[in-house]
Amino acid sequence: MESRLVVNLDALSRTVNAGIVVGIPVFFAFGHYVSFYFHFLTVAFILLALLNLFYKHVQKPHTLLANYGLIAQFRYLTESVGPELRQYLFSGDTEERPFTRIDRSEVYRKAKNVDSSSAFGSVRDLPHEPLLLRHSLFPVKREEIVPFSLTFGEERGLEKRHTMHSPILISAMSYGALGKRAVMALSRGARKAGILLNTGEGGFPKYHLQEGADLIFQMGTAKFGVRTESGELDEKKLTEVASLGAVKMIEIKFSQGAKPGKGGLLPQEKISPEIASLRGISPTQDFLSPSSHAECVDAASSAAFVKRVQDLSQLPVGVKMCLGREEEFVQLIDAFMEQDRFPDYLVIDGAEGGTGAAPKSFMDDLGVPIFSALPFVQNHLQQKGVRNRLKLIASGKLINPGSQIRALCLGADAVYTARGFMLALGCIQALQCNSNSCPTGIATHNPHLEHGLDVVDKAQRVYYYVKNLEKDLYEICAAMGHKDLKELSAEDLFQKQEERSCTK
Amino acid sequence: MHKVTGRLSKILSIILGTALSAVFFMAAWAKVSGNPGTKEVFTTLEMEPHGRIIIGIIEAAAAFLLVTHKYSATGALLGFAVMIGAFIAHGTKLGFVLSEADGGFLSLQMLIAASLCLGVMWLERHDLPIVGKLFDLEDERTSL
Repeated sequence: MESRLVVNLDALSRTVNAGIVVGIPVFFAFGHYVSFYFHFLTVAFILLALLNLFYKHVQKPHTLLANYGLIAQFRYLTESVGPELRQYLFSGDTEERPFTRIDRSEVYRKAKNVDSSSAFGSVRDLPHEPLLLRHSLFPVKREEIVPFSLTFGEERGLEKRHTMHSPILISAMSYGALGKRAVMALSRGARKAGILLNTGEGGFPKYHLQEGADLIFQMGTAKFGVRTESGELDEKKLTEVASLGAVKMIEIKFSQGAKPGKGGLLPQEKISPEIASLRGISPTQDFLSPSSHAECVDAASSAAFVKRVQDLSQLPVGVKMCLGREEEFVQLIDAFMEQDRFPDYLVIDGAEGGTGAAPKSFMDDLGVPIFSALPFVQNHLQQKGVRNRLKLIASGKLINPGSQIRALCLGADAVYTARGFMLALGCIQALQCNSNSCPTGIATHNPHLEHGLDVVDKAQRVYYYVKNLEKDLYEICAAMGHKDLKELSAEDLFQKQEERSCTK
Repeated sequence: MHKVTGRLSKILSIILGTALSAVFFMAAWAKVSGNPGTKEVFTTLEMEPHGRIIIGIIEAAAAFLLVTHKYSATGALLGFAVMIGAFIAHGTKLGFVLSEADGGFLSLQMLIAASLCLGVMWLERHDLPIVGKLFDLEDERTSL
């Protein structure tokens, strides 16, 4: 026996469809005998009947429209506004992904420089993360805290070494992925906050340079901006880029967390003449980005390539990768040891990384997450006795001080975040970064959408976000009983019983 | 769609759209400005003056939309709806031949305008409200 109220969609649709047809003569009669104004409805019903006819008998792509007619349109209509309704009304504060509302609102509040403290306990079930932080019974006084400082290139005694005074860096986002206003706001904010901005693999960093921030030039697998026609390194172009005063470091991207092991396709429609010239590619055909560097076929050749870029640029050179096979990482470190030259820093990007368009499975299923990768990398480097030969930067969804300090505990010297800064720029997590329709004007080149992004205001938010992150990081560090962020270690973490394997 | 036919249909739709726009604009002007002929028609329909002005505004909107790049299909749809209403009016209250001098010319004009509206709607079907996207899918399906 049927125990609940069921809508018989078939019967309902038949009634609605018949109602539309019946409406025509009914309103026609009213129009004829009562008032001609009723014919407005007659016309409307004639058009609806035509639409219904089209849905049911002409169009083929939509089964539901063909079976039920107009009423099925409600499904598509409500489905299309579903994400907005869920975000506004139905999703709880801890439900949304990739970032929950409380994660995002913390960033928004930091970026707007308003109080981001909360009250009456955590809204999450503790422990909500496998790793929590241990505090000390004897916290350090705030005035005893040592300001952060990290020098890249000191291990090799480089002349052009770079010292950072903030543990935060803006991760790789190219002009192309972001619109120019977003890039300019990031650059201006980074300059004000005194942090490094990664250019992303977008070729010559024209807009990143405009606002005067210190830059890390990223060289992706396609080597945009420093490539020969066949996709190999153009040494002359690289030395030119390296000699730009603003470029402080070079970063060679082997892989990234959002799409580890994958190249990309830049469709011809997206290659404007400007992008073609900045990236050094042809504007008349689709561009296929390779999944690895042409020069790097194994560990030894990869290590040699890093050395070559170091020698050419005379700048600190880093390598970015998402951890995949551990034995390959071991081989790579062995190769660095063999040639007695290490990259100046290593970026470990967790599979959580998100800035990059890729098939869904690459986002969801490939790569090792940051809090599993980082302990392995740290332990391996320590075991080999080479941890002091390079710096370690962590990235992958590290937008809040809590997750950043976890990364610092697990061995990172500094943390990268990209999406944290997108949120600071006003991102509302509409998930449309790859469709040129970003409603907040960040990941789009549509001038109407970019119009709302005020460079001056958003640069200020980037600055506040950094400053408030630093403030929280120092406070947490003090609460954990350390004077310096560099003193943090895995001992400062508490691990859920059943997941103890991570740091041991 | 093939590039040459695509360009041809675009040119055709621009020509038709502009011509239709002119027709609707003149009709709208006659109604809104209170031309004696139109006043007479709307008195017969017992819609004087509000109905006359409303229809005039709808026609003006259609005329305007028809010459835009993106909304010409919407303009044609609006024009087509007005033409259906006009057919009802002439079929039920006014008669298809208004006077000897007219000789059914106005009705013929209506018929032509309605057909041209359908023509523009077909040429610009990808931009039609609500159903436009279905034609994109249809193209993809038939291109397999």
